[in-house]
Amino acid sequence: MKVRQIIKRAKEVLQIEAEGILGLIDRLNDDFVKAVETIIKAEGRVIVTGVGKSGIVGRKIVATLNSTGIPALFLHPVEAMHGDLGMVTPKDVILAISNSGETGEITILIPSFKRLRAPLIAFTGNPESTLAKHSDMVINTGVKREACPLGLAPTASTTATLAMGDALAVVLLEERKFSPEDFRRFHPGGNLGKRLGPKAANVMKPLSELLCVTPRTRLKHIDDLIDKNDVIWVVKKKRLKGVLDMPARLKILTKQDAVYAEDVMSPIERVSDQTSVSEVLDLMRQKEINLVGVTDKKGVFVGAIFLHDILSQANFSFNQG
Amino acid sequence: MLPRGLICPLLTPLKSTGEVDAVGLKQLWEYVAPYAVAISLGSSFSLEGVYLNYEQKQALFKLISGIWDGNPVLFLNITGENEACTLHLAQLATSLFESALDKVRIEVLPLWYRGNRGLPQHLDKLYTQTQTEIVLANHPSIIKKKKNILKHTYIRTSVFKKIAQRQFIKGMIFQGGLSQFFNYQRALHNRTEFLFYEGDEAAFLNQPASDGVVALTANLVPEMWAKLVAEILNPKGDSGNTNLQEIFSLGLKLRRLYDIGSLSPRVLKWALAEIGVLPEIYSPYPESLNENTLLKVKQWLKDLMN
Repeated sequence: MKVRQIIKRAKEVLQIEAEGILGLIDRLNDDFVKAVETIIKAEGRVIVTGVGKSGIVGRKIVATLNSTGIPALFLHPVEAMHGDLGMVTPKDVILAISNSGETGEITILIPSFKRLRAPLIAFTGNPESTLAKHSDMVINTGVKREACPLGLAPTASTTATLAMGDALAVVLLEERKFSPEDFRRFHPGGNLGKRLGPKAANVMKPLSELLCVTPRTRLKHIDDLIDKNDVIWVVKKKRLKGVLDMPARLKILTKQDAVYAEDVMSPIERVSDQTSVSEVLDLMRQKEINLVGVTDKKGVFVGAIFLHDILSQANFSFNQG
Repeated sequence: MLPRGLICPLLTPLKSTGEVDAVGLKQLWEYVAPYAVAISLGSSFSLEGVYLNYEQKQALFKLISGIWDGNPVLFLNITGENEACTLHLAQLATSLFESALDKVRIEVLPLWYRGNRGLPQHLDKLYTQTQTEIVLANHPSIIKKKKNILKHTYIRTSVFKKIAQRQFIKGMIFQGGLSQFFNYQRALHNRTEFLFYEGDEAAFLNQPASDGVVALTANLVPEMWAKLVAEILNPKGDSGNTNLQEIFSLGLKLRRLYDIGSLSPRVLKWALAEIGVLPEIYSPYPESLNENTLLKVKQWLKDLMN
């Protein structure tokens, strides 16, 4: 194949896959809404099942659901026939994936699912199939065209199923009011987890960038500095004593006898430079503060962390990796 | 609801006088019908369908109405030389199959006899007259053969958008570029039951459409096509039971046959005559058959037998 043909073919494949996903938009219907409501109301877990490529997609959907706080597990249909079906309870919701909707390993399980009375959601490209006909909710994941010659390997159809799984997970996540903090708790290895994972030493503003005075600095000497800076750090022998912040300014105005910085300075929380940023964030939330001082293991003041600095580094995102 | 799967655009067995050969038609029907979910009569995708005149189509429909027992679904291509002829054929078709209209669909290639302008209204008229679901044909390669440089070879997307809002238009047999296919697909807002049949066998083998294929070479090898289409549309691949090597090999054979057979309907008629299905190979298709092509199809048949 010539270079141009290779690129042309690759473009075609990507276009087919993209159109496959776009095609799903028109197919979203009440069954999708019903599926979301069923999962939210369910007291049990989402049991995802499928074989072959659908099984692989199913495992990814399980991973996504779990990381967004929706308890899910994968049930291999063959293992289900040999005892694993015991893990399904009437409180669970079953999500069966089969593009043709006629996969023997799945259709054979339908009577068992029905007996268990667990709601059955089908992800299938064939709404007329056996699986679709026996499911409580049918989500059409069909595509108009496969990218692989002779359809030997499911391509656009698996991409579409995967995308539909993400759509379900994201809608569920929003419906359940899942917060970035929850996401970090369930998903410390993900993007947000990684962003919040570093130590205080990695994100703090170093001492060299902070404006410092001593406790015995006369206020009249730093009038200008106080006006121009939000925070001035009060440090004695490399130890953090307090800060001159907004409350301190108010004290200057009201306390007529204040002469030195130590007379008006506000107390300040300190964290170790080895504290994780997520813990710093917790501390800020609990104490309702937006800055902390950072000290090393000997108690020497080495820097400071401001809330807005952390937030700018920890944008909530679903991108993982 | 339209069927999903293999649709065979049946060749029309003709005597050298131009008369439809009833014996050949019955034999060909019996040879093909068990394997297809639908048979298209007088289809442009048989390459010769649009060259059949009114009398030939009339005879074809009448003969089939005597053979057909309700299965498989029939697509009656009523495309005529002009709008009036098309409407006459539509009337004839619906009157012949009146008792089983739920298993009959009207197939039409409108750009063969008219332009894009006013096409939705024309289809409305056709539906009012027939009260039968319509399958559109988009067949640019055959329209190009009319050598009318001003004629549109594709139904324009903006026109298709209007057509797609009409619920009686149930599907399209599509031949053409991938971009055009996507344009049509996007125009189908909320028409989830609308089916696209691939009208180009090679494209189906390359990037299969999920609703089915209209395969000319299925006239010669219907069983092979049926097997391949079933595997593609309902892959057992979900459970990993599909014999991929077999499908691949079938696909390659059909691709070779397509390269030869798609040149002229006479090639397939000749091959069908060789295996005793058709008595004659006459076709109204304007291009003649050359010796080299015949040698190739001979070789292909020989390979298949081996």
